[in-house]
Amino acid sequence: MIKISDLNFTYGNNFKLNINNLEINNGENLSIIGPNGSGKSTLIKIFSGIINYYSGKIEIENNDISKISKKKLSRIISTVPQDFTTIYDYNTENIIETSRYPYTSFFNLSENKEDRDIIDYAIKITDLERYRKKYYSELSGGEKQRVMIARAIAQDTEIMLLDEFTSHLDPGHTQNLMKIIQNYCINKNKTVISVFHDINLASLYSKRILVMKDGEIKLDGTPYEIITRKNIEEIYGFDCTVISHPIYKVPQIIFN
Amino acid sequence: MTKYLKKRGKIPLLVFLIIISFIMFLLFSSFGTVNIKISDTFRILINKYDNSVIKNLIINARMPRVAGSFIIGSILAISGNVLQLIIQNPLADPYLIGLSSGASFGAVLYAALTLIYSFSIPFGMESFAFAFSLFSTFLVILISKRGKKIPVVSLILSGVIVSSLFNSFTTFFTVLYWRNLIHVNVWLMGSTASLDWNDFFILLTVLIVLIIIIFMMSKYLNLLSMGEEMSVYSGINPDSVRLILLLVNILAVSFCVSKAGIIGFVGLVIPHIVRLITGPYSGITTFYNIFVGGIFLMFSDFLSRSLFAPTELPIGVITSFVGAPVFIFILKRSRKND
Repeated sequence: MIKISDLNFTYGNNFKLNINNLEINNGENLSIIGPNGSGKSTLIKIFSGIINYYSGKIEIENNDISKISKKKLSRIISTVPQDFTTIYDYNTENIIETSRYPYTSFFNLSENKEDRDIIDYAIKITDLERYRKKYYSELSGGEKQRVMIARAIAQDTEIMLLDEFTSHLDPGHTQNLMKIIQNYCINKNKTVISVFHDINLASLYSKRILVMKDGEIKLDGTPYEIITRKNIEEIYGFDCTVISHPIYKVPQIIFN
Repeated sequence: MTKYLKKRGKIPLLVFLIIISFIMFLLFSSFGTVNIKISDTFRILINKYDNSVIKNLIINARMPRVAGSFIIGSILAISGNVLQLIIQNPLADPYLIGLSSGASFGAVLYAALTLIYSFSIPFGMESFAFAFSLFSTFLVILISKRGKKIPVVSLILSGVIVSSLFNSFTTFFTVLYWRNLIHVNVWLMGSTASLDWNDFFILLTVLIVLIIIIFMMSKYLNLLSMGEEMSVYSGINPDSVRLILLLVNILAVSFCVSKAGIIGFVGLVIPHIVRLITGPYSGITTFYNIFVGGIFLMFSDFLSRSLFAPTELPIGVITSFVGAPVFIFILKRSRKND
């Protein structure tokens, strides 16, 4: 279980992140939505260790993450960023292989059979076999994100963070990647925390939604409780109609 | 051809490079203002040569110079490669980021102090070079930093400014204390002419230490070269790794500059050539940089002393002739990706 208490963070400008209390259960599939600048990505960055100067406490299974070594933390949490680029021409396999660093010791230079197996597994379920030797920098946006998902899967952590990872992708790629993640996480009972720009995706793929605005959690509940015309109007200042998804029976919003 | 090399033949090519390095060493030790046969050079090396004048010339004047050039080339190439990877900037080079200029100023300052006040401490010149290159390098990084990133052009501009500042100080001191401009050339454009066996062994030690540290940090370097975020996701602290590697490189280059002045562009050109063969970074990259960098500087040294013999051309002139066009090429390409 993840437990956040009295989390405070500021970039030094007007922005302030302030979360008094938040609990996320193991195996939960949680989405965070909210307008631009609401602090959703910041929260993910704090979780993943990119930002490490905050006040307050984040505990995973009663361990304070600021007291866990970075290496150990990366055996618990993996991250799929919004976009990831490299300056130098690494191939897809090189990128995915980095996921095993948290499991190697300082002097161990080569990977073992277990590493190899899990990398192969991740490549298989993300259908990247033919991209193995291709340069990452030459892939399309969707393919790049698929590599980053394979990387996170190979990292084999209990918690997976997805930071608006579909925001640059077309609908086809988005659906494809969401299905990969969903299958993987349901099968392995992983905890997934995703930040979404797209309210409909959040509603479709998660059972619990947090709404953030101005660095605070404004709403927390099931898609039905959260996605109402009134709430969307208040949070986004967006006039919409809420309909029920004809197949999955979850709320979806459309423009008015 | 590079496609083929990427698949196989990385090790055989390395062996080939080692052999070529040795042949080049013999070749460049044989030719100069006095030419002897390569076979004679080999005989001198295995101590089966009789003419003691020639033997003395080759063994004590030319060989340390050629071998020293090799080591300096290796260190500059490795250092350029590591800088490019950790600063995440394909144009980083000890010369272009102001490291060498700081080191050269430190060395000249120490030489001046020795000359006037008979000030002398062990490894004084190297220590001064190290201290001032630390200062100049961090100054450049500080000036060019935008948030957590160092933009390509910004780094080069700050490098130029800081370098010309330190180079002016260097010129000022050399002219003030030696009253002639030959020494300015040594420090600002590089010269391998004064290298002796003692220098060679010191530089060799530096190179070996550099290689060992890079190998120990190889995994981290690999991650860091994919970007700071990748390091964090994989559980290493990018700041501490970067700092250690930066310090080790500054130290190694300070030794080179203390011995031979500023030799530009080696750290830019060689890693790019090597990257075409081996891909971005792996353990083997460092070995390639040793030999390709070494051969390149031995050849530059040969040209510098033989093109207009008996007048010597500063070795930095040769490396800049090769380096500047490569710089333009890489700059164009990296701007395209911006």
